[in-house]
Amino acid sequence: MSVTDRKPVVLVSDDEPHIRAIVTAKLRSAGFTVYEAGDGQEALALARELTPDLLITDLHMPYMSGVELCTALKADPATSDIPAMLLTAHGFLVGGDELSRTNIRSVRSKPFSVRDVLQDAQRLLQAA
Amino acid sequence: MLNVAPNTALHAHQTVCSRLAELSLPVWRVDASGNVLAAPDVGGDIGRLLRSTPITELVSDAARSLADVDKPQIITPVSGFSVIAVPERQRRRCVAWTIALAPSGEFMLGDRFQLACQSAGLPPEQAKQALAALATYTPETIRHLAAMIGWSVADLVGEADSRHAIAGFTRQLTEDFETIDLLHSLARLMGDPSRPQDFVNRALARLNDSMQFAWLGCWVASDPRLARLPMPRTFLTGGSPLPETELSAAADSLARGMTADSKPLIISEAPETGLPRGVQCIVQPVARNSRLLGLLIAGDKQSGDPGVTSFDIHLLETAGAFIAAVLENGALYAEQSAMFIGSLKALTSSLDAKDRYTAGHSERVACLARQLALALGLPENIAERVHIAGMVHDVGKIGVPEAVLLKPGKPTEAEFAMIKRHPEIGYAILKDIPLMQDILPGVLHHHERYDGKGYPSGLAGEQIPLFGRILAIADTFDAMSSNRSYRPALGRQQVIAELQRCAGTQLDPALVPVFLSLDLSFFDRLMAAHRDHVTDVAARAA
Repeated sequence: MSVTDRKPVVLVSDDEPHIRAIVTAKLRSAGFTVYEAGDGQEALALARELTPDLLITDLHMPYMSGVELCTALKADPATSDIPAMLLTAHGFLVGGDELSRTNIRSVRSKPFSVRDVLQDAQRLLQAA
Repeated sequence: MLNVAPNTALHAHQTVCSRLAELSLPVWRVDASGNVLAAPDVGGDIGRLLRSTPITELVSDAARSLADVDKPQIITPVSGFSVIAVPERQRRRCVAWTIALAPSGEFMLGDRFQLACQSAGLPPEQAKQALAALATYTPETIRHLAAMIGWSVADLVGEADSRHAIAGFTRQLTEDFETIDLLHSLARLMGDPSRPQDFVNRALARLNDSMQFAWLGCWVASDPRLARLPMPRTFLTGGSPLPETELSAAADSLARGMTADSKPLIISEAPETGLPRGVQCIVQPVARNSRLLGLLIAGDKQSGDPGVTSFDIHLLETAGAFIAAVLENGALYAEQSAMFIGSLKALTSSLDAKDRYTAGHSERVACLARQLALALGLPENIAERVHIAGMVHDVGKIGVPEAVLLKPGKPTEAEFAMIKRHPEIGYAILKDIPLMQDILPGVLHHHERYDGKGYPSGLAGEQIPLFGRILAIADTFDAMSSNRSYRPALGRQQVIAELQRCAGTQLDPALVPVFLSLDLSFFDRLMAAHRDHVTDVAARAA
């Protein structure tokens, strides 16, 4: 199914409900179908179930971090192609080695512009 | 960074428990392993019965047999002893159970009831009577009750989650407002580009209002363009534990490891930097156009989240961007000013080069005029303009033939007429230079006389522009104090007497006394240096 046949599906994973709400609202108003997860494990389960077109995830989450989540997704052939965008708090860097074991294509630090996140999402979905 | 999980579920369950208590339904709180955390808070015989060991064990066993599902379960471990169990979930894990008892009369016919009575020391008939009012539930009513409790818990938890999200939004909104307000304030604080230090001080004070750090500092790098500006290199607000010199040294060493593109640095334990131990500091580079202009440092967080947050860094980055712009503007302004003055000096040097008697004259007149302007109470920036007027007041002499200008002895009438044109020639030369408009009147009218007998316009009294009247005194003083081809320099007392004599006729009588009160030591040094120079030149020519 090509992207034009249906609305792209995005999974947003963050333990802070207001961050999820802001990102989700922006993406929905741009025409995406958005699912939410409140922690890394929930995100992993949902990703396996839905095979979203894009994952936007926070770094620090309960049970499983954003990097651990993306590493697990990359390791699984069913989900290894899902591109990911990582949102981090200032000052937290993710090493090149760690990133190479994931499908993270973009890293943004908070506070972020939700407009930038949308542009990034559209770009990543085009490239896929 | 703290990330405390909200205990929204606990509050919801507490509310449910108190509601059930109002309906006289006994409630236990049991953890995920079956241990009873709270027994029913009921008085009298029922209470003793329900808190007895056999009943407690019954409830624990029932709890251990529960499935981890997100809805109420009805379990009847012993006939007539039905319980409704509602899971208390935190972050999608079941952490406890709220268990409500909805018994029926059958329970009192069983063995467990007898055991409980024994354990509680209650005669069974007494216990039956006590329990009778409560033991009225049928399977249907239990199902209804379970559903209602389930919905109630779901609604309460949902509401608590919403409140938690609102708290998050509120925090975000507050931080966003602070950031926007800081941006507005900093934009309004930008002022005189020749005084970037004023902005830095005000910016630090304003930043201090928004940030909860014990001290804030700004260190300015040694950029050669900024070196022209008379401003301090370190700024501090709040109570820094470090003296300025040490902060400066620490900043110096930090800056060596940073570039214009460096990300902000969070330092906790770094004794080699010279920053105080055990104190968290954020070091934000202040940079523009790929140049590191300085560092902004926030030290020792006082309140709020003890770790440095994204918000703290964001505020520092915002202020840093403004400070960078102001420093860059200051540097450009200083560079431009220097270029302007340099060009003027080149212009006047061409004149000085021809005539060793007038060499240095413009510089001395400029200094005297500036001193007089300040003594008259004029502001610093106006005095600067008077100084420039002094530097260029004789530039029109370039238009006077050399033979006339350098002729020893008195000029003829015709020659004097040519010399008298130099104010107008100077005016013509300078009039097209932008931002010289305020200086032109001084150049044009520096040979007017207070009594109206001057040139070129014959203006009198206060009609003569102030710059012109100021320059006239300075010019006359220096001329009399200099060696001329037709006479040597007059002595200081003679010059003073001459000035007083001219007050009211040639010179402004209000300005002369102020001029005579000036400290002329700097002038004397310039004159001495000039004379030495002239002697050298003459000696080499001989």
